[in-house]
Amino acid sequence: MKAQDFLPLTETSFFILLSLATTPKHGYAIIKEVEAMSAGRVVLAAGTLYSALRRMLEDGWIERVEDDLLSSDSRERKLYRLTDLGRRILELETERLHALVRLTSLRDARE
Amino acid sequence: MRLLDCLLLLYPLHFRMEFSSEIHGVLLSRLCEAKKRSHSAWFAGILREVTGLIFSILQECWHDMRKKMTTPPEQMKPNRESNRFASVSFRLSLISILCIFLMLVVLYSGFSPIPYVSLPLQLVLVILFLSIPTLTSMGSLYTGIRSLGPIRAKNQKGSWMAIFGIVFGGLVFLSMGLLYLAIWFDS
Repeated sequence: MKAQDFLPLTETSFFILLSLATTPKHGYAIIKEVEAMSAGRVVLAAGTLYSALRRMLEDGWIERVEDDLLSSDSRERKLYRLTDLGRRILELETERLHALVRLTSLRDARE
Repeated sequence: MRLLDCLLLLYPLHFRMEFSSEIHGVLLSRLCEAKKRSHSAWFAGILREVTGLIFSILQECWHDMRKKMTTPPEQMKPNRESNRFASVSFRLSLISILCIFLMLVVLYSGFSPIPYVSLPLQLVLVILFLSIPTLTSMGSLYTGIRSLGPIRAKNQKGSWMAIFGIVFGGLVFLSMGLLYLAIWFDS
């Protein structure tokens, strides 16, 4: 499937991809990053996050990598990172949102 | 945390094997963090996580079911867990059928223990009378659907048990639903 076929993204998917855009992260870090980015508006529940991650892994938007560091309670943690397809989808969605904002600004300017 | 761990058991096997330890870890961190803030934050956290888990479990079960239905039978592998679910589904459907049978006997024979027992016991009897067939039929449907694999794969032990569980569990569940509706309109 082409990247375009996955658009538009849900808010949750967009935030998850955006949080992974800079560095690979584990589940808890994704939740914290999404909460910070949305100024506390989007708080992901663990179940919601992992369902979304499972779907993204299946569709090839993200991939899993082993984390060399253990968590504070010595559990092995998996990191998630964007694939090229995931990055392309994020870019296309960002462009789509920019276009919408431009359109709204133009209409506001005319009025 | 135990409640949340029990909920994690309701995820389909593949999902549970892949993510359950990670979800457990995240839940633990989230709840510890909320507990440090305040009791109300902790309670709100629990509510959010439970709701999130329930929706996610439903979503994953639906996804798993669709996957099983679309996988060609020859590619399906025998699965011990599915067979166990089929057997549980069969037993639960038998219990629910037995409950309905007893219910009909009580209704049509005119013999009811209700007038001869004290008020709290009457309440307990009515709750048991309604909840046992409802819960067992729901369980039978759930476990039957979880064991759709052997049905699709055909000729596997447990396939008829799952079919029996789904059909009769579904019928009992439907009749209990109608009974609740009748009680609702009657009142």
